[in-house]
Amino acid sequence: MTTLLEVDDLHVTFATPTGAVRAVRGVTLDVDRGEILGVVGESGCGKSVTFRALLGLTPASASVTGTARFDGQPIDTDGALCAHAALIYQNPGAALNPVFTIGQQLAMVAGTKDRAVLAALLTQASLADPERTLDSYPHELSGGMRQRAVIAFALAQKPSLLVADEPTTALDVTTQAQVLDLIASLRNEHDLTVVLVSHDLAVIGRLCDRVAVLYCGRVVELGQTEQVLSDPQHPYTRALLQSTPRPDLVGHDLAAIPGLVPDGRSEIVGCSFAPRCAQASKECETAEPAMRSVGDTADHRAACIHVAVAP
Amino acid sequence: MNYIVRRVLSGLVVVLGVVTITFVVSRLVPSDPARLYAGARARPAQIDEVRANLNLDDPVAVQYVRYLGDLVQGDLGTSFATKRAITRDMADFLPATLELALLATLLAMIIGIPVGVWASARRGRARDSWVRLFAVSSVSIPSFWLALILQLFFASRLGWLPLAGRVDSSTEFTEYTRFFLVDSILSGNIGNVLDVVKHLALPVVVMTAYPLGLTIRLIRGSMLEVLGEQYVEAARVAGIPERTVLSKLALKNSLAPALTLLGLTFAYSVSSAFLVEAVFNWPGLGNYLTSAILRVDFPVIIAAALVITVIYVVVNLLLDLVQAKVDPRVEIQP
Amino acid sequence: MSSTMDERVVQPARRFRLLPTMTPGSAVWYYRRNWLGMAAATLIGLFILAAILAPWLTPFADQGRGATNLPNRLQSPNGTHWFGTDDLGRDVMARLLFGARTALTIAIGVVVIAVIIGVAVGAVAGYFGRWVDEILMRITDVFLAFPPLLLAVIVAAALGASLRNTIIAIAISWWPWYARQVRAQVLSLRERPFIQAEQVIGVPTHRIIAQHIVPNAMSPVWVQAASDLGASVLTAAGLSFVGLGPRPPTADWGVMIADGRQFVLSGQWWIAGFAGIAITLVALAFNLMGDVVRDVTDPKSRGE
Repeated sequence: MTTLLEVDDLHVTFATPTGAVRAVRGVTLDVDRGEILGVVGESGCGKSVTFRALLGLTPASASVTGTARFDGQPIDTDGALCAHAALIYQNPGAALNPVFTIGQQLAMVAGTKDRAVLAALLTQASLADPERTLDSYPHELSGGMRQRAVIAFALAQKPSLLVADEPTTALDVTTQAQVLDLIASLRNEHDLTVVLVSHDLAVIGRLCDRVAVLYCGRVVELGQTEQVLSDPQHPYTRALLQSTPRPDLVGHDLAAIPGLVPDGRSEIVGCSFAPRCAQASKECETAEPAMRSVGDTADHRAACIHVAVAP
Repeated sequence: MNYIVRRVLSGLVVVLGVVTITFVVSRLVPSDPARLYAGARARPAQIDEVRANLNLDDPVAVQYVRYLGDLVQGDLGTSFATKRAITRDMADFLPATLELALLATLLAMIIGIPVGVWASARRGRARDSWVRLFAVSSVSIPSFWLALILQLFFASRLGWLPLAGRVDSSTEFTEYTRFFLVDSILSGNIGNVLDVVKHLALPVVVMTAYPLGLTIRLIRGSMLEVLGEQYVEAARVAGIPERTVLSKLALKNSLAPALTLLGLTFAYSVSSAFLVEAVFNWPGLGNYLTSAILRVDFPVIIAAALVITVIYVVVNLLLDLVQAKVDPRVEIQP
Repeated sequence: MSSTMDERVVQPARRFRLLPTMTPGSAVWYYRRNWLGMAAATLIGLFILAAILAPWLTPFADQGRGATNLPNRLQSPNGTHWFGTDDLGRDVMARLLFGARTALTIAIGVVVIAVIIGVAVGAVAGYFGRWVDEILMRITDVFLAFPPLLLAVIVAAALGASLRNTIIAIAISWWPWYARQVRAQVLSLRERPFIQAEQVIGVPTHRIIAQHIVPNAMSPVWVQAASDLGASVLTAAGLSFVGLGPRPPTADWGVMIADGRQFVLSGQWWIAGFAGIAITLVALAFNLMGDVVRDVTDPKSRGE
């Protein structure tokens, strides 16, 4: 079975003092075994919430609907994924308990106090001098080391799936590269499947086999990374790529997407991007567009009625 | 070591400040102690003689310096009222109050911390609401009123427990430490121990009420804050069972506030004991101080304030030291 | 652009802002989830009304103020005197209502004075720093070093028992907390760009402090003030109980407990009993209100 994780029509709604916030409005995607899937979108598009909900990390007042299957078997959408997946955090410093040493925390996760085993885990996560790190407190480590410690924690859980939630956002560029390389090599050596959530297209482009583009809680484009980044079909993806600053465009105005992201509390009828889309027409506002095969490759799909359907 | 020396020094400064303020403030009292001690029918000459005897003639500054000099030699002065050395009075009264305060603090921690953790585990559910209601009621009830009510029911109506005092007049044992619980156990006589416990029961329960409520509220709040932290979330995702998360992880993170709490509750218990001692006629520091205030007994007032403040400062210092050991993030400034 | 957002997408109605993070709608949402808070607000409302309207809520207003009626002493609760009469024949309910006046006066007096002094000291110390800060903080530390209640007891004893002195005594022991909190807030606010900008363009110092620094530093103050209102009722009652509170004939709940104490054991519980219930309920209500205020101003405690 090549598909490891299937998510079908996931909706996540939060209850807040000022109304219900719909963070995820029908996300459907699948993660193939052994691949690195990128999930990209701007802040607030629901990319993190999708996976956090599956891992059971949303507050009790949030409502999660939809179905999911792991390795062919249906799983609950309230945290059952935890048994198979490990999470890597954006802010590694916050993910580590400040009053325990790395060794103590790792032992609790790995279920063993055997220092040799723990040190081996740290080495797998490319941490030099594992013996010393085991006895260190989180505040004594640098940002990059902390993130590697978090990765070691993830490995200790022997997961089939690794969800990396903006793992490089809090790191400097050189460390970013190291961590990304580490994730790639882990995928190769440990037969892991990785979901990489990020708003940074460069990170996605560097590492991911396929990419899903999210806007306003929905998937708008899905396909091989090369294809999506070089030949984007959905107007939002195109606009996103155009608005990325490039060194060769110095001196030109920055292409920004006009308008604002819709408020999470609002109902959206029809295509969520329509108000800001240059190609929008009347039909765009009536019904939510379905994902259709587009472009040149078989598995490139986009949710837009204005894109030529693939033959 | 440097740190300890600095803290002790600053503690001394603080104690000095408190003593000075107390000295000055107590001399603002409108009534004239000399007149009080000379008696209602004393003639002016006799009053003057009394005043001279009490050294109240000298300028305040001189009295102050003389007092400090005595202090350094370990002399807390002589009570205007009882004419006894205050140090002796302290030896009698201080343990009585400390016994109450220590037992109350201990009980508050032993009951309050687990309950606070238990409630924080089920935030918003029924048992959390009941615990919160209990805790907030506990800190809202006036201690002296609670004392009266308990006295009414348990001592008067039901007759299970005695009305007042530390022991029955018939009970006797050697007072080594003046902590009656300890002394009665040392005496080897079960009857003694029971008597002491019966007399301790109501006052301790009353004194525990406020610290217990406070402990529950603070521990619950601290746990909730910790439980919302990302490292707890990470632990849950990593498969660590909820019980371990609560007991081992979150609790250790909440320990720092718990230590501060310990200091707070003990200090509060010692200084508010006078309300409870008044109701139960408990021969402790609180009662000593209150009657001294009403009788304008300067030396006692200042000595009592001094002793209470020293206890307060020492407890805080000890707790800061323990805190530094428990939380690896806290560095002792050299 | 075929259509604008406002037309096609259903937007929430324009919101009207009360406190920084609250709107009428969200306030209702909070209270609905928090029935304890609603109960507390009701109790406080009743307390304030009772205090203000006391003379009109009882036929025995003169007794509330102190007039005695010895032939009627120590009547148990009955049709005429719902809460009975005290040892001087005064209607207990009237004494309770007038005692509410005393309690409210003390609560407001203490908190207002402590906050004003504390905020002033804290803001000045935090803003000007250096030796001003040193001196002010040393003074604050000494006051803070007094074990709780001790200073209030000593000051009350020194000044003599009276309503005014009770307020002064308690306020004197509580202002240091506010000073410390505000100073901490001001220290961090001082470095903020918008304050530095104002300094550069020459806004007078007293205006910077009063109009910009202080309002932003106040949020922990509100929370503490809310629960201090309740704490002051408790503390004042304690002082009154040992004779350091308002003197007769002023109605005071703590004094009622002290006076009624000797009668409790012989079965005449209503003098001390109702006064204690009143104190407990008021302290309870303010404590709960303090909790609600904290939940509203601090998102972390809401678990968000």
